[in-house]
Amino acid sequence: MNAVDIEALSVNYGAKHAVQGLDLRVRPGTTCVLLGPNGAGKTTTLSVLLGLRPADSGRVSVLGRDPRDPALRHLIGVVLQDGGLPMAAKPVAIVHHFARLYSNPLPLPELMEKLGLEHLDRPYRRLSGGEQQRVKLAVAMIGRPQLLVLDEPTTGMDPAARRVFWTLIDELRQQGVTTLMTTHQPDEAGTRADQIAVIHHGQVIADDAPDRLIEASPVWFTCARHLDLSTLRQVLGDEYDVAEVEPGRYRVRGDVDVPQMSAIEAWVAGHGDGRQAVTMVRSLEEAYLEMTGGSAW
Amino acid sequence: MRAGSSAASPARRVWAQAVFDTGNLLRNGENLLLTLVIPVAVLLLALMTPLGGERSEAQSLVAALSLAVLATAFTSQAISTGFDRRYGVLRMLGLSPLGVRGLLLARALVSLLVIAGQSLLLVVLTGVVGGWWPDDAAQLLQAGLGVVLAVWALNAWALLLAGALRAEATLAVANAVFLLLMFGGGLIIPADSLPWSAFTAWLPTGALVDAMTEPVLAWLPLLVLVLWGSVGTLLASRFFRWQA
Repeated sequence: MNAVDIEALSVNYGAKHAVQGLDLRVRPGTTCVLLGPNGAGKTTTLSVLLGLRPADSGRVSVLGRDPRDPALRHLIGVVLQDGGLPMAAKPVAIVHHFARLYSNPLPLPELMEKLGLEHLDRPYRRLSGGEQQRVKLAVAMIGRPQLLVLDEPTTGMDPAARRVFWTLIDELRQQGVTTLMTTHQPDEAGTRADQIAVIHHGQVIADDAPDRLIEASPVWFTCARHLDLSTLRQVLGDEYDVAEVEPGRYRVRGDVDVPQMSAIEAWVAGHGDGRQAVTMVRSLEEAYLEMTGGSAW
Repeated sequence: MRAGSSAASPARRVWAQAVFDTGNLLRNGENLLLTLVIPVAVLLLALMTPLGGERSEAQSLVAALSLAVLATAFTSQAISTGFDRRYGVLRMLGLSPLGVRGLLLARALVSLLVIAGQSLLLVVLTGVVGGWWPDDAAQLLQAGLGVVLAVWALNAWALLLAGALRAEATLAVANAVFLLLMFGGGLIIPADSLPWSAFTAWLPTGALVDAMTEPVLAWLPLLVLVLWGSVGTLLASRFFRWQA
């Protein structure tokens, strides 16, 4: 049984098709990241999974149950973009309160220390965005959930806090917890997730392991000198699209494998001024931008 | 950090939420002014100054207690729920093991807990300052039933406001209704001094005052409160939205 099973999900807001025919399966004990431009349908999909919004059509199952089943409430930890916590209460009081809703919550001091919350003695409304996100995360984790559903959980977090976040997610994965989350940090997700689903215009347009998605990324390289690319095109062949996208920044599209990478490096070394090293770059972010056409929304 | 906890028992969840919310309310200065300072001031002014007019100590206590019920079960409830809804707190709690029903029960319990505290304080003040203590058990029972029904009715209308309007509009309307009922609903100014005295008995506050003062068994004010509660619950279940 998959932790999350979505088949042909469609959700409309009036005439707008927010999600149209979306399919997604997340295996238990894995970390799945949803990537997509703003308005792609990520949050709407999570809302349906959490039973906050009905599906117009399609089939959705969460831990083998209907998303609106009240029995799911203690099995899922949630961070919502617009799901707040009591503004006047202090972090320790908030997390302690949520702990009392469970029969066997995590030890509070341990969790607060892991998330760096133990010394925050200000009301929730006076915390920074990153601190508020960490409190939300503590609330999501306190009940030992089987599934974490996190909508942009690292928003506002500094790099150190993001590192702690991913360490916690890794620990939970080792204990069999499934995480489904959205983020706007593709490369961060690329190094830690088991599965990445790219959502665009309400549909999953790619769903695979990060390494495989990165293979679809164009290759970028830079050179201080202007290069005449016509001979490189001859070296690589017609199936490769080579272009100088910005002055000194070059992109090669196509199925670039190791021999082609070596050929490109050798060609640039022979045509540059020979003094600078050529850096070949290929990343999940580039793969993502390629898939979504660089669309910001 | 092993996965697989279970939810606490429903009663424990509701009680935990009620205690948490009550603590937050008691730490809120504006809320204390509304639910404690104003009713106590009204009672003391009525007992100790000529502003009380011809009112007996018992009538002063009923007026102050009805005001406390209105402030807690309606105005305070509407404002806190409205802002919790705006900040997404209701959504988060609805997704927790507490759930939507647990949250509603906890909110009602908060009103009852605070009103129990207010009642105790106001009765003791009336006894100490005015020298009058309630001694009719049947009358007390009827008054208690009236308070419970009033809490239900006023909570339902508070949730209707908070769940249908923006938080700022809820704040304005809840305070306006509080002032209107305080001065025009037979609380500060006795109902029989008002030109619309025949009408006040049909208001939730007027019915509450009657349930606490009329001889046992005063079924009409209790029925009026049941009607307000039923209509409020029906409308709230139809128009309440968890997300702003």
